[in-house]
Amino acid sequence: MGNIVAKEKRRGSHSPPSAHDDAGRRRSHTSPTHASLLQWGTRNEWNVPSSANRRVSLAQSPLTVLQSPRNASALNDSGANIEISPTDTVDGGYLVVQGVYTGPQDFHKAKVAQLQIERRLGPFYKPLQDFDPSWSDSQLLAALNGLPIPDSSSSYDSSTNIAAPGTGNSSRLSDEQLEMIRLYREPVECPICFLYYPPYVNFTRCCDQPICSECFVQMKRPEPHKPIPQHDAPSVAIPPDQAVSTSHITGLPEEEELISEPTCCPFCAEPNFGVLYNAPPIQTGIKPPSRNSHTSPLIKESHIHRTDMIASSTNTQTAAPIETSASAPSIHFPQSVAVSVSENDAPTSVLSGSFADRRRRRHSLPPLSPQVVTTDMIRPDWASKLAAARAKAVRTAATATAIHHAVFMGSSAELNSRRYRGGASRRSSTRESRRASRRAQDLEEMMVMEAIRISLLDEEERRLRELQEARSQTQHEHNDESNIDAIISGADDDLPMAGSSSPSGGNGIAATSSTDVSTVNADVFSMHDLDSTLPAVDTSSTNGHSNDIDAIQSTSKTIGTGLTEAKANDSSSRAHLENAFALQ
Amino acid sequence: MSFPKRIIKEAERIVSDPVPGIIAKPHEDNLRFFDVIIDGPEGSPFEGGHFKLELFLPEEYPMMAPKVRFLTKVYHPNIDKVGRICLDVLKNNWSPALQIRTVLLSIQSLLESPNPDDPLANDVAEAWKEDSSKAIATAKEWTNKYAK
Repeated sequence: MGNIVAKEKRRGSHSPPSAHDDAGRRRSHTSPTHASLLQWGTRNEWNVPSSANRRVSLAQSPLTVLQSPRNASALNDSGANIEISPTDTVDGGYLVVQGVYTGPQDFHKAKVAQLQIERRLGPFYKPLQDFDPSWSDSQLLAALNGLPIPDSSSSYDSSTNIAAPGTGNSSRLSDEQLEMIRLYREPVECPICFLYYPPYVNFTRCCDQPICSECFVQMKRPEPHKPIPQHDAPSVAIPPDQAVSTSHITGLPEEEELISEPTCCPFCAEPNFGVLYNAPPIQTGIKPPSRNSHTSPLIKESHIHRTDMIASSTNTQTAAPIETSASAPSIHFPQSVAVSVSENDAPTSVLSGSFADRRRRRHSLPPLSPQVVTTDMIRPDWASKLAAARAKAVRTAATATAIHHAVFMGSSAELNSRRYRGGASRRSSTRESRRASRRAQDLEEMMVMEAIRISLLDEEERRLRELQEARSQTQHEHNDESNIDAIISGADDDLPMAGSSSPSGGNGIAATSSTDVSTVNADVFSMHDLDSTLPAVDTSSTNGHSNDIDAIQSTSKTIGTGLTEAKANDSSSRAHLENAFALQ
Repeated sequence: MSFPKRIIKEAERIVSDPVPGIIAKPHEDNLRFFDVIIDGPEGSPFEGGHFKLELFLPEEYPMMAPKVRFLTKVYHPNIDKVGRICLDVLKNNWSPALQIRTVLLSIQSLLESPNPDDPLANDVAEAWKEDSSKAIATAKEWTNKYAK
């Protein structure tokens, strides 16, 4: 037991020794934002933007734009360069994940830290694996430190509790330990990871369920997909303005167009999943970026134009009546932003009421409400992911069409022309077989070309991604979708003409391919002209042959890996594909 | 081998507090694997059968749905020859708030109410739509043959 005290010392130095000290410091800071930023700047351990697998988009969700409070501009400006230390604390939790999830952490870490400092998203609290309400303080501390739970009779008296800090007991526990006990005395179990956290976690905007920050940052939109017929799930139907569609741009029919659906609430399946942070009455750690830390910047700074969404005003914050009736139409600010603790309050005062008393019941809030944090805000790259998926789908469709034309229009023309020539004599049939073998050759060459082209496009895409990543590190503030379009369209033009390290084989294929394309191309054309009775192309059959295309694409992986030098020929093969497309 | 607390707790809870008609037993060496037996619901053509399934919790669980497959042959429009199950909560309607328990309950209710309009086994679905009493008879036959 003796080592508990020592272990406790590792906690961050941000916890105030007492409330009086804390209040005093708050008063003396004229600009707490800059003070805390300065503090960050000196830490180097966690350089967030350099994380290798993070993709930062140039596009921002409209929600993000609408919700940025003015006061956070200081953080926004440096958002990309925030350095987060694993020891930084906010309200007793941390700004870095505590290892509940082991997979890739691909959310926007700087944005999450910013929201946590603004007290809009709960910090990453250290999770408690188990909890028993009958635990004594010492048992609770042992659990928090991952130690075996001692017998309740040992060391400290099990009956002593933080609620009586004036007794001799408090002298044996450090302030940090008291703070820990205070935080974890009445924990909540996150219904997703099944771990216990201080009650100051996030609550869903729609159905008021708790969710820890660790689980919240794992939530994301489903991958872009074709619209699913909503025959059995009307509850998750997406309003038309939420399911972004660009079919007018890509020219694909609506039902073929990839869409990206907003994340749904895991508990009630309401679209546009968002949470609110239930901040503790006394804020510790890094101060939120506000001159007056006693009033939430969000209330003062958010411009509430949408009166239909928020019918509340600051006067609902003072008392804490419990709203039980769902009939009241007005929407109230949550307790999290209604922080109005007197400066003289000792930390123990928060123990006067239970967690349930402190937290006011709330009705659901709309996703655009200024306190709500949505998954799109911490993953602003969803729009660029959708754009990339769509671009890929369009390319695949064009490829399918081109191959369809070459293979099936060609062969049907052949069949028809044979019919025109009347009975198949022996001589003509040998000619036919020669022609057929030539056709097979052409087809093979065309498939090789296609493989090369696809590998080039993949390479191009990869370069584009790198470019985007490089850009996003330097210019975070100019995020908008038009940039992506500009880059995508521009990338076609500014391809480098030669790769530096291509295997020798690549050159030969690339050099001959461009003439071959014109041969195949001419063939397709002549067949088409020759045969006026050509049956109308059945677009549905394109789908039927997608297996063939898959095969070709997988060939491209093997053939095309080293062919960076063939880029110059890409445009000619593309022109061919466009021709083929135009035929239809 | 260490497992997330959620998996440990779910495994403990489903063993200590099982769902009626469902037995789920985690493998001793890997808590991500479960051997499942679902009893055919009363009043359904699967009544009296004990259907074996395997359940696997992928690395991304609970952010991704568990993978579940019938090991016992079932004549059902939403379950195919190799035991794959067409069920929304196993696909796009998965939510991390769902659990092993809720998923198995959903499968049990799928046995109770086959949905031939959203088929996985096309031939079964066709048969079901053409002549449901004949299809139900076949399902009973299969239950007696394979699930006893």
